Amino acid sequence: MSFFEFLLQRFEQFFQYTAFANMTLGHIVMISIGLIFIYLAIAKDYEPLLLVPIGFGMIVGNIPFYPGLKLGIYETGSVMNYLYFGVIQGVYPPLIFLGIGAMTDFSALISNPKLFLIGAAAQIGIFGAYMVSLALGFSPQEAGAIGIIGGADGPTAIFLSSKLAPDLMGAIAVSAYSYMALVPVIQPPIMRLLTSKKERLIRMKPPRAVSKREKILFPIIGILLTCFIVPSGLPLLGMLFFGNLLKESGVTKRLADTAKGPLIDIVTILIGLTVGASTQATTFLTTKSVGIFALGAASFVIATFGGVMFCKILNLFLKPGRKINPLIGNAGVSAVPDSARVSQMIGQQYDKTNHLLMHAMGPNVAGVIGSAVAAGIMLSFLY
Amino acid sequence: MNQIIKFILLLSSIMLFRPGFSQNQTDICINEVMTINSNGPIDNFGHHVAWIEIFNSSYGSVNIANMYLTDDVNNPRKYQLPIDNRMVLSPRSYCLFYFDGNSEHGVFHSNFKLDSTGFIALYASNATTLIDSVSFSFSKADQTCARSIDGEGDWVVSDSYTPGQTNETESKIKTAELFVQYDPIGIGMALVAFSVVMCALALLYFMFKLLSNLFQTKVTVKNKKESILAVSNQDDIQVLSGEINAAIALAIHLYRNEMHDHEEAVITIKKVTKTYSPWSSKLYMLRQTPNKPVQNPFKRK
Repeated sequence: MSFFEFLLQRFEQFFQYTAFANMTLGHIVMISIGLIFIYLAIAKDYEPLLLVPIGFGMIVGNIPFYPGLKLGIYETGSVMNYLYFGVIQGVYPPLIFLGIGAMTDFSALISNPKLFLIGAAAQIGIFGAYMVSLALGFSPQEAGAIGIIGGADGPTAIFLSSKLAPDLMGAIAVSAYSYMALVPVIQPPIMRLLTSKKERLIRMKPPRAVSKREKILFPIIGILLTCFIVPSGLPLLGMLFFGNLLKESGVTKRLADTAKGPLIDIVTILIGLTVGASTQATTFLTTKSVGIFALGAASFVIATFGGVMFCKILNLFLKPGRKINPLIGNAGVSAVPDSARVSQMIGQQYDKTNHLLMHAMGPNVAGVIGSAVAAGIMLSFLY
Repeated sequence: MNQIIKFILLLSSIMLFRPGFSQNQTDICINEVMTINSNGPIDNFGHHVAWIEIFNSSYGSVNIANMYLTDDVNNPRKYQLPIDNRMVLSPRSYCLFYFDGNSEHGVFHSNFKLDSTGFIALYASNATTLIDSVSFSFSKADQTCARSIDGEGDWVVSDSYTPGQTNETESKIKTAELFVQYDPIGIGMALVAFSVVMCALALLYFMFKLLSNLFQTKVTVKNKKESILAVSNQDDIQVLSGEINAAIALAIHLYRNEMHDHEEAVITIKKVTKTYSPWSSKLYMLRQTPNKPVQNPFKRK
């Protein structure tokens, strides 16, 4: 073999290692989707904290390479695989819940406990999607994992799908986050359809002041009641209420600041990047993924329907002056605070002086608790 | 220009028609072994022969071609898995290899036989990296040595065998199958689960309703004792608009979170006197006493 032939052979081998040699149409499609996510996040400001890491992760995960070099997210021993461990084993979602607990003010909910029930009613989206998924031929575990998209809670969706249907986790997470970003587009038409003009103008009683003692008691009573009923929701609910206690106790300000600041930021970066990277063309571009996206949209619609209709039903039993504006029913899905903002936005369109944001935050945070409880039930039934 | 288009087309065709593998052979493992096969699974020739089950534990396809199977520690290259499309294992899938010592029977037939007591190992395509191995000893026919959990559990000798299927036959699959059997449309599960969510949050509702009543009663009693005079001014209480409430809430929020502007200087009407002290004297701060520059004697006046 001459030197030239040797050089040519090495060059050929090098070419085999490049992404150009291993590229497929699927990879191009997935990289394009990643770029669209980044565009939507930067140009349209749709959930940038999530869509930028996920979009970039999609690009990272879909740059093809020669197998066996310990590069890919699914290759044991690769850096990405180590980071992905936190997703597969459900480590990241509870840490995110810790941060959410530390940054959430449950005052609106404590001052008007009726709003708990709206948060529960909106969880019907989860179970509606579960039934539709079963009818479409998904296995019970897969149907449970798909249904949780209706909870509109990314970490909960990742947590449950990592346990019930790990192979669908990428599609479920991307679907959940995509629809959470599209809450301002999906919910308003349903809210307008289900409410009359008179109902949209209902003014709610201003929330009362909540004492510090009540705020401290909330996480303690919350964890005891919910986790005694659904212990399988402990990883999520435990961390949520723990984070809230750090915030409300007033003596652990440093811990609360870390939980709601650097910790949640780090975990968001890791979860976003790895979930994005897990959507490799070979595992993501399947007919199942298309079905998951369709079912995700359906679950959001059912959840919004459930929340708004429950408010209307509740109003039948409430005295005048204590009635609930049904426009806050959509906030029962736990896309915090986007769905509460939607309530405020739609309310303002009909009465500029009617501020629904604070009222909508009640069912919104109740939805976080509700979806975590629902995930716990799914886990105990189907795992 | 045409050349550029041709190049792009060529590159695209290479990209489109190449299979995309991005997985690792370390995700492959031996999942089940049966060496004394009298009534177990048959191969494609209808023979009962020893077999092993290989499992892809990852969530991506893995090409196992060129990997090695051996029952001899000193000879890892005993049987090399052939290059074939069927050697690409899809995510979380299984394949069986038969040990009839006749590799001409197909790609899934090895060139050696397995004894009832022995050892089987799977090596990577470099023939040096050991991927997985298991030692076994069977006392009777149709026993298997299998992992309790696919790809990771302990090895268990059992009388039941699950070729090409998951070894986790007990609890997990049973629950799901029961759901499909008794509740095919999921209405039962949905109703029960939704009721549990409703109950959990309704409990929270009742508890906090109770608490809120308790706290409000306390506050009312306290207020009654402390502010009898305020009762006379009830008529003067005005209903504040939402904007005013929002402004007050924002101010309180900023104050509580110490986000208000913090003034370093103290504004006062008192006279500020600066008493003399040698410690603050500029003169004593200097390291050298400044001298008057000496005038040049040669300079003409």
